[in-house]
Amino acid sequence: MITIKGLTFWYSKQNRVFDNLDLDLGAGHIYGLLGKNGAGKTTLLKLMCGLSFPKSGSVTLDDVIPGKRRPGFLSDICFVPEEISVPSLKLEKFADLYGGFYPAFDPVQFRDNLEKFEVNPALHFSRMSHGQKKKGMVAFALATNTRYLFLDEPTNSMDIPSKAAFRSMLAACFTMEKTIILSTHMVRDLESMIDSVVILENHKIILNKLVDQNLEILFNAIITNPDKVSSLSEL
Amino acid sequence: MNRFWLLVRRQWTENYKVYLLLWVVMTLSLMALGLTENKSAQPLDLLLFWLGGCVVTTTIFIRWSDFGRASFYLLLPASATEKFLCGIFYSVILYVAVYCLNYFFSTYVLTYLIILFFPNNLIPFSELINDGISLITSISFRSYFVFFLSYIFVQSILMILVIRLKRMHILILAFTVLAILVIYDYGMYAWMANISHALVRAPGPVLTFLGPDFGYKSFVEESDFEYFSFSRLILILNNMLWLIIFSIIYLTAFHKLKEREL
Repeated sequence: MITIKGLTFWYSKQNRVFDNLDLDLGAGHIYGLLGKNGAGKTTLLKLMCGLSFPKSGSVTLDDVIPGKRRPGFLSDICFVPEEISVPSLKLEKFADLYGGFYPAFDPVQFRDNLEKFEVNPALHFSRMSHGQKKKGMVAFALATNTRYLFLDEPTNSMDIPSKAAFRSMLAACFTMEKTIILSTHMVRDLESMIDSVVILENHKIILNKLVDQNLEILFNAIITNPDKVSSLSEL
Repeated sequence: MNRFWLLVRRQWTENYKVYLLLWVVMTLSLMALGLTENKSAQPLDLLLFWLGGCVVTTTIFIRWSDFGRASFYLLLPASATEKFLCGIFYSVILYVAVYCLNYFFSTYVLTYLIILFFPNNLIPFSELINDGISLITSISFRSYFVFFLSYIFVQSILMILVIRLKRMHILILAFTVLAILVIYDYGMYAWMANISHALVRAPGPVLTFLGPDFGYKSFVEESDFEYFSFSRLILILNNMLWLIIFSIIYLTAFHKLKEREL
């Protein structure tokens, strides 16, 4: 359970990213964190992971403060940022080195994921395209089997077959104990993957609900609200 | 496997090419310095020691600087203490031990082995080993300590710079070290000018852990100087001051690492 209470955060005082934000995200859901560029999606993910610290208010994951970065907590979360920076290694070596840090890491699942992505595990990161690196990291993240998985713009730079493969992998690894948050500004990529949607706009959550209908229809419904037209027009 | 050793293994696997290249470059440089047989080359040994350590320190702590790498490394399931100690293990313990072995190996074994090929310079193997051992044992423990502390001084500052800055670490390090040395030197000068009215010059050397070097010169007559050494108590206080400074820098680096935000 992710609980955010009265969260205020800024990079510069004049420009607040969040002001008194409240949000509860339960386990057993795949959340789509949607919003325009600069809405604060990545910042919110960073706060949930413990990469940034709230200026006021609190963020807790099962009553644990992420910012303390305790090993027990860290072995239960995995974050794939949009801009990834990878070590100079072969993918299989990478999994061998880093998988050991995650108790539930499954090397067979990792290889299966790579196979679905059509990425050769013997390939060196330095010889991969940006899309292949992203696929390698996403394959690894899914194989860590952590309870919390945060993927920032996961489908960016993925081709269409890879997006389909990603959907099937996500469905396969999902269990009711897990909380998966996918952030994106490309709604269509997530449409069939998520069961709940959180929409960020003007540094506030304007929608947090289960998706029980076509996501595009949902958006259309919101768009009919004149107050939201400008904010959602880019989505 | 223990998390600490996983970190150590990961560090080696990702950087072994850099470390091996560094080892080769340092071996060749030490051999070249050994061949010159010039005692004035000793500051170059020290500079080499510092530079090599700067490279190793950078490879470790650079992970905290840019978002891509830092986001992954900060969230790697190990405590900040384990990550920090892994960095210290490589950049201080392992590096200093390897450098010392390499220093002996390249300066006194390889160099003489090369010389062996020249008939006029034929030296028995036992002699070159004895020569090396006698040189090592002739240097006081204090000298090794100064050598080590001078490295800790540079390494600890670089560590903070690498964690905080994205580029130009070495240049900023050079300026920072220089600034600290100037401030310290000036402070010492002011202090000694206060206690010795006939002062000519402050002691100069900054990491003054060596007794005979830590004192001041004073006029005896017109152009005649006399060197006065400080008492052992002052020397100990000076050493303690530097040890406190090093500890503060290390704790600051650890704190920066622990509280690193992206």
